[in-house]
Amino acid sequence: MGLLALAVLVALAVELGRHLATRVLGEREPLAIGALAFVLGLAAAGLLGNFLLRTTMRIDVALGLLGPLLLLARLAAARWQPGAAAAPAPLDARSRALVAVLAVAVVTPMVLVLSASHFWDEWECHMPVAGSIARGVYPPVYPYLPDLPLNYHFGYDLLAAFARRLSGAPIDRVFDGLSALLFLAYFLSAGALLRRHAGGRLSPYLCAAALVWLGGLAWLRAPGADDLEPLIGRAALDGYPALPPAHNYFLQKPMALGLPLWVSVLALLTEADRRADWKVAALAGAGLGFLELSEFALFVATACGAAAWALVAPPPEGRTRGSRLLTMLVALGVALLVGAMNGGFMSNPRGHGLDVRVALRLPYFARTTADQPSPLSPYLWQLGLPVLVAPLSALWALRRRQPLALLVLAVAAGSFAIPHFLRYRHSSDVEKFFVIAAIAFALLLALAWLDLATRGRRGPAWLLSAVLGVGLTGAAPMWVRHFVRVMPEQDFGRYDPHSELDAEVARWLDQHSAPHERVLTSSIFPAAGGLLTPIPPWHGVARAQLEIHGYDPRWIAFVGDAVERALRTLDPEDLARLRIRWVVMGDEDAALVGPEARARLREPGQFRRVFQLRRGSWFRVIYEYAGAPAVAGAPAGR
Amino acid sequence: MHLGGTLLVLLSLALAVELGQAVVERSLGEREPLFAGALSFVLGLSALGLLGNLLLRTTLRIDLTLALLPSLLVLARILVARWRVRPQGPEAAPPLGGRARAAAALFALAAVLPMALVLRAHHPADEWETHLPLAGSIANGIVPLVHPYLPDAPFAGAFGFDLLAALAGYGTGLPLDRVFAALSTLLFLASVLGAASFLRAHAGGRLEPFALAAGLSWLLPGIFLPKPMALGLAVWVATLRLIGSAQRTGDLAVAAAAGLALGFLGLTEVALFTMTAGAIVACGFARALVERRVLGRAPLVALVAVSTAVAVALVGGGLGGGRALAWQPLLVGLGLFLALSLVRAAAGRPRPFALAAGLIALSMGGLAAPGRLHFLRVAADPEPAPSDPQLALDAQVTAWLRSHADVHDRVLTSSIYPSALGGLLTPLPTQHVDPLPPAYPPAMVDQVSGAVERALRTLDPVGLACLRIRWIVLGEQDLPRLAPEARARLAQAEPFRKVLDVERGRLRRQIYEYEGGPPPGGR
Repeated sequence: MGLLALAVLVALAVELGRHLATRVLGEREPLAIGALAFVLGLAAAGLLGNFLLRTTMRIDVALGLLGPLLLLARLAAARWQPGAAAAPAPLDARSRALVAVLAVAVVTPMVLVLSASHFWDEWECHMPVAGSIARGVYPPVYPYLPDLPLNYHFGYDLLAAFARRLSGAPIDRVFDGLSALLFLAYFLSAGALLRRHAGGRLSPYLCAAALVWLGGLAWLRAPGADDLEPLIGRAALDGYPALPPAHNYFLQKPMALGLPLWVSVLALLTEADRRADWKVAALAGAGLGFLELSEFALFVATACGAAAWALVAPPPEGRTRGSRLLTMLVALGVALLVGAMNGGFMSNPRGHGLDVRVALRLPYFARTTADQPSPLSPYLWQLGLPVLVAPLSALWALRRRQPLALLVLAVAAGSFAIPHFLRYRHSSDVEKFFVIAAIAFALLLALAWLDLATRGRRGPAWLLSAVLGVGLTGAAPMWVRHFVRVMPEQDFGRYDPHSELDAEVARWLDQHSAPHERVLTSSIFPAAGGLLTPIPPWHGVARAQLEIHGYDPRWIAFVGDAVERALRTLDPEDLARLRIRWVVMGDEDAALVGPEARARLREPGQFRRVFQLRRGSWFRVIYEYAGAPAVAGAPAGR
Repeated sequence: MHLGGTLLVLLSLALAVELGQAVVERSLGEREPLFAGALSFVLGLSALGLLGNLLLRTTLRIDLTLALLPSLLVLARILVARWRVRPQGPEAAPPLGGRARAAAALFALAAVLPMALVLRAHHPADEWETHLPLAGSIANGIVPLVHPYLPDAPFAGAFGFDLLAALAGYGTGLPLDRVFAALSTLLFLASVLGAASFLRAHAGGRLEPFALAAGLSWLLPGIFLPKPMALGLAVWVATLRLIGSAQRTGDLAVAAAAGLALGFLGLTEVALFTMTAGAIVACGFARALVERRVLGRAPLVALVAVSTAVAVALVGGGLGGGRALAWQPLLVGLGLFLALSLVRAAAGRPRPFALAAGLIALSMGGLAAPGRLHFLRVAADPEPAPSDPQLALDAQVTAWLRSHADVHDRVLTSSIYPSALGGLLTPLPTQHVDPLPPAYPPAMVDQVSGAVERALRTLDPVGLACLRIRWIVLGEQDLPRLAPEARARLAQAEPFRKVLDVERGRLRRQIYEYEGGPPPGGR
């Protein structure tokens, strides 16, 4: 039943997306329509679903109303008859088959990577957030600090939570499936965007293949890539690692949703600008608004880029600057309104909003080790060829005055400049602008290459192809080494035998506990099942994770200290502070449990053993604590 | 400080009334300025409440809500502008003459003035214990909504009035009890005029509708005192006008507008909502049966209106916690029906019939004159008197806490007033008398109530941790009841830090900051 409901919702969302892709963007190529329909449909479902969740605060009601709302949106869109769009003709059958083969070749390695490993950010941030939303915890919280609001982007987690809630599939498998589809959509929609703005047949898709895999080498930074540092250097911003960027490219969930959405938003923005149509601009604004919830740095870069573009770049022929400004004003106004209503980063200025400082500093000045190969090494190695040839791409864009190229140049230049000027102490997300700069400059380079190639400038085109080819070939060994050897080893969740026991624990608690009940555990894994587990002290990772997400250190200390004490003593005051109802004790905790805790466990009536599991020397025991405060619905004061 | 907020409130109100006026013009074609003004005010407030609720629930911030509200109202007005002006139908009676309008205004004022005095002087228990605390907490930025007595559970009840009052109070900085009194007075006036417009639209007449509406409003004046009814009755008569017009013309856009107004009623007064929605469906289908057109326009209009209303109320977080059925809506409905019949009987007849209707109206108002006098005397008796020194001390405590505590901090107190006066989160104060709505889990209510009683006696750290207390207010009634262990804890330097100690005669208040409480900023 749930799967059927999911299929109906996806079908309604994709149908709405298809309508927008064909009517508003005028796409005629089925592969492009499919990709754009999927991305725009997901954006619509995410935006409306989040709206319903925020207003009803009940996931079942929200999912129940989402179908009718998508249907209403589709009916409303049917009455909208925008003018003709400028889209290329469909591919012939042979070319389409070749693109499909290329898509399989491009997507398959990513599917393997996605299914083989999940890195720490997934285990400790996105799976817990998605899992808890799926269980009915809304407004979203970080399950390690369930008393504080989540002032962070959670669009991907929201969509995964919907799928998890309806399908019942494990959240890691939902992540794998969703990310794989998004990567396919990213490739195809990037190819469609390039073809739309630069022409060509297969070449745009070849460029898209290079873009989605090698849009900068930012993906190289991941756990385990540290051993590359002597080779490629390292730089920090305000104490956070900045180059190589820790937010590695597509594997980081907000980027996985953000990038395909970004490509669609670029298509909508340029279409709105071309037609000077405020309705298309409002639609682009809505897409940009969902980008705020999906990947905040991409939203900021695109919104600022679009504003600069409207103010500075020459308008297309026959258009005045005033009409372009008005179009962008509508788009950005809608985006800001939607963003303010989304929650996420924009919801709380104390957490992740407006408290910024502007100061010029170069990241490499702050490098942490003295044996850097060169102060420019981080730039050279991690931002990749597109950034190195950025001045040439920029010159081409300024000369050709192609609207998309100028918009992408604005986004890229702004993203490159932001980490050098913006001092933002609340989270490490500022480094994402380097990733965005790398990807945007890669898109600009692809546009330039296609322009040269399609205009018959074979010399420069071949030269550029050779340079790119050398660059790609040179990167390939590092890519293989990293994804095939290093990354799977870093998936502590998948390969840690403790995680299997914790998965059993999470399954049991999922069935027997209410969504807002708190669980005391030292392990990070039950949270991935959507349980609220105040700062598990597992290897100290959780506290560090919370600090880089900008949470108030007093709260981190209050909760973290109480958890550590409670795990040793089971002191009722700490349990009350943390509002604990369930206590999970494992073999690693047994050694730390103090005599007072053992005595309390023996006391009749306080801790009731409700579940136990043993595998070899490892075990887990779940106790229900009788002194727990009653909880109902939303968390305290929310 | 509040100049910007006041301007925003006034701008929002002006835009809302303008929006209401556009809806009235397009859907009802109302030409009498008294009626158009009252209905525009009520429908505008409904739009303001719906959009404000939408913004508040999505942004979770009252400052953003107030800032964004004018832009959404402008967008709504632009959308309504595309709705073509309807040719005036038979219910759009000609405007009254100057003298008649003056007389009608006198009727309305005569009905409203005594109620204004009562509203200014008197706040019943549910206002002190539910609506003032709720509106105060919303104005403090506590979103999603909670009852300050049970801050760990989502609010279960109707909140439309409180939301409007909170927006006005937050923006202007006026005390909420004054905002309540002013808003209720305006709503009472709008209810009288709205009921008169309904009577005139459906039964004709000139002054008879005013006389009967004024009489009807004082038939059971106590109904009007609970805040959900104060707003609910005004929205209800406006909804009746809209649904009547929709049924007459078969216009689905008007039906949807009626559904939106009814949906706001779902956030405001659940019993009135359910009984009206039921009546609309019943009438729609009854008419279809009478006309022998089951798939005709009448049931479609009813379904559009009611389904819009249910969707709006569900999405807006309404329909929760209140009583779905109650005698008051039945009584009010019967009263309106009776009045309708009387006006119908009198209208268009020779003068003696009009005189008879007037006499009947007067008698409706005056029938229970002793009861009315009793109401005026009892209701106008302030509870508690503003000069009550207890209240003055609690006001001082509240002012101190508002300037020193985070809005999410919990306060342990036996008094209901810190919550009523400042929207502070005070888990079930022991002096509370108004029962919480039955929608709250009884186990939770009992647990919190027991924990508060124990904590006020013992200051037990476990109890304080369960309640998430950061501030403790002890009064002259609480101090003698403290157990020895509590006295011992207070005598130590930590973790209880005395931050305020005020005395007035034998009355006393002490505020302690509990350092074992959660850090500020939590929820």
